[in-house]
Amino acid sequence: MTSRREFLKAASLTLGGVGVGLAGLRLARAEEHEIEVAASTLRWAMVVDLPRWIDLQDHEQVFQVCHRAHNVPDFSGLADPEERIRHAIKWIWDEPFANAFPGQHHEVMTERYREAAAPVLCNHCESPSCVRVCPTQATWKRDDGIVMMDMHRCIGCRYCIIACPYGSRSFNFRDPVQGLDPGSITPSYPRRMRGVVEKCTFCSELSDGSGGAWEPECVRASQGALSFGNLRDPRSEVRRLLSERFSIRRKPDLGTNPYVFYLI
Amino acid sequence: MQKDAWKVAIGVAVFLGFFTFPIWYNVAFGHQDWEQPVIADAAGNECVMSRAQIRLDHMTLLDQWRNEVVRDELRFRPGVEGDLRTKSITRTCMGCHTDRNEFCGRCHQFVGVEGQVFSEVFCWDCHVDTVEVARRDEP
Amino acid sequence: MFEHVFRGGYRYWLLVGSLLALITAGVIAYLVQYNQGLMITGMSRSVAWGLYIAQFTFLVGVAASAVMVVLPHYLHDYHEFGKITILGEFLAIGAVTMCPLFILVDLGQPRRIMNVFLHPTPNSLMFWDTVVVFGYLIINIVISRVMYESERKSVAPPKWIKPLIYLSIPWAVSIHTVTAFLYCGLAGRPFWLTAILAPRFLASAFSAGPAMLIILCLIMRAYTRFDAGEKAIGKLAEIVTYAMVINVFFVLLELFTGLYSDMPHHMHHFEYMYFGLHEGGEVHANLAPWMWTSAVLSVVAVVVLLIPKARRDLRILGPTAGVVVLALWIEKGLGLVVTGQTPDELGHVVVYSPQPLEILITLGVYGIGFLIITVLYKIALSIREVETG
Repeated sequence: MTSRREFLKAASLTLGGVGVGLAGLRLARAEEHEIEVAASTLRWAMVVDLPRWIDLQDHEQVFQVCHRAHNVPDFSGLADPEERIRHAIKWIWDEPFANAFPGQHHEVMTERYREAAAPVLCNHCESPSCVRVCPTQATWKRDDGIVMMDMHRCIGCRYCIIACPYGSRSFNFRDPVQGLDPGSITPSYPRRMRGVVEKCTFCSELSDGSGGAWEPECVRASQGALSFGNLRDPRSEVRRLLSERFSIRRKPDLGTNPYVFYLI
Repeated sequence: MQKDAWKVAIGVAVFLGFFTFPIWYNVAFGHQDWEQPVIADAAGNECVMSRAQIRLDHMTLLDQWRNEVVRDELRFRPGVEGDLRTKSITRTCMGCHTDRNEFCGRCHQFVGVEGQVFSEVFCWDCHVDTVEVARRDEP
Repeated sequence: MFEHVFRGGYRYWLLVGSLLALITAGVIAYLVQYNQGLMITGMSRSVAWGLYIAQFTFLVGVAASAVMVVLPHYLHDYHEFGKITILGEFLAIGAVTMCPLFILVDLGQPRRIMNVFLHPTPNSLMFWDTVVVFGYLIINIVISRVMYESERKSVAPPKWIKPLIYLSIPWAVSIHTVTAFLYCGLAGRPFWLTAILAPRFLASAFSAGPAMLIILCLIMRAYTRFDAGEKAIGKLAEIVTYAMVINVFFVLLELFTGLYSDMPHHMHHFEYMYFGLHEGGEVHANLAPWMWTSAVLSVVAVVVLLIPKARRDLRILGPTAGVVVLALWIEKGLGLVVTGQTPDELGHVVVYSPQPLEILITLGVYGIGFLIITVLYKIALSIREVETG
């Protein structure tokens, strides 16, 4: 029969250990909070003008421009039709309005929006769920708001895909070379290897590092339906658009605070 | 122990076979290239580090560059002559050392870190060999 | 100590041989996956976690529930469990070895696993899960080794082992709580975003683990001279009964909240599980037969276990324990992980069906775990037999 003293010693050791662990967690969350609260002169955001997007005839070329520029593989030619869906890699694509904005769809909508498709991509959230859960910091939030990917560090655990409420991320189930045409690879941008996760990074490779804005590929090809800029700059196009017109975001009640805005 | 000696002998033989696999496999099926490759000097400006340093440290350097460019957004560094150089294999290193098989591959294969089946050097799984692409696209 | 592993009857060698064959097949299948990528599995852009992670989740529960055997013996001096604590510990070791193996086979870049330790990330639950599961493995190995050595030498165990055993109890609860936290903190996954997920995990763990232990004890009774004793097995059966009742109750609670609330993003997951959902003109209901089977089996098991005469009859208890394990494996090993991702975040239904190589790899990992359990039990048994003469 062990003494009560020994039991109390062991119990308090355990509690102490748990306490230290919790403190560590609290510390980490405090750091996260600091990143959110610290003022930055840069906050990149995208604005989608839905009426203009709906009027745009060719959406596919906008997506192709992005996918070509970033060597995103195209598996639509795979033999197995199920694998075409299962292994698809998409950075930006169209979703029916009901899927992009669940809960906003009802039976008496205007025809225009009932049949509409909205472009969906990574929202570069202010409180990204994916960053929170990545065990290796292979994805992280930059000070300027962009949620970045480090393909070298990614272990392919796919926890980020599980956590992302928007389905923005894709995993390389197979070697991307199988979906790339060697003649049309963009040499200045790397491919990925099988086993890592990828997503839109707001074309951050086009930035010259000076803090000035750049034009992401999709924006350039969208004939004005998509805009991109620095939300903290009072003279930016995105700031102007958002202050003049009402905008909605995807799943806003989840606390992720997404920075892709959709003008109605 | 005496009557089990044959079991032990088999076990030892199997173990030795596995242990010396790299040697007898290469003798039987592999390259007979025992000469250490000699890399020719490249044309062009000074490298980003001195020759002795780079020989020792190029792995660490590339790892550092990788983290600095991707994670810290620090894309440029001063070169040996003070000018700003881009931290990039394809843009900086291969500007002078144009053939990666000739320059990188031969030593890596000789040492055994790059090969058909097993490769520590996975850069080219993702990064595009711009020089090779340019050469292929030449009329 | 290890010499006992190599001395055994033909049935022992048949078991070991079959497990080795299974492991070999699994390893070969894994080499294919390592070469080609996770495309050989049934996972998709929409269902990114499948059989492997589900097995991890189920086995963390089994590993945690070894504590159910240790707790009564050490905290409450329930000496009837004295003989089987070591079996519970060994089952835990087998289970908690399979857990990181399932994670490893699930990774897209397994060679980079050290990144989790080189770049610790306290805000990620996956980091903490890795820490606590490895810690649990080490604790259990140390405890088993020390307790086993003391028993072999017929001396009292050293004093410092007691605090470690006491530590292992909340630690066991924590490994399964942290695993539940992997799921239940995700705002984007309403099926998992429930506070009752951790209690559910614990309830199903404390049913499945002791049930597995009952089966193992009965097997030992049938094929070896080791008898855990009817009192000990009976007590385990009582634990399984209580835990199973609580587990079924928790499932009903979940069903109520999900279905009464009428919220589409809750309801759709339950609908998919039990009835299937429409997508692209067809109904996808591949999970439904499994879930209904699990539901029926759970209720049958609870009813049987609640009848004292049935519970005490070891010929009925054995199969019932098997039914419990099967029902809970379906619930946690298939139901939980896949349903949470179907429909996906964009409301689409992309069906997940495990593929042959994926199943082979899974069986291979189970083979490794069961081989470890077999070998450890063989050692424990042989020592006991030497002692008892």
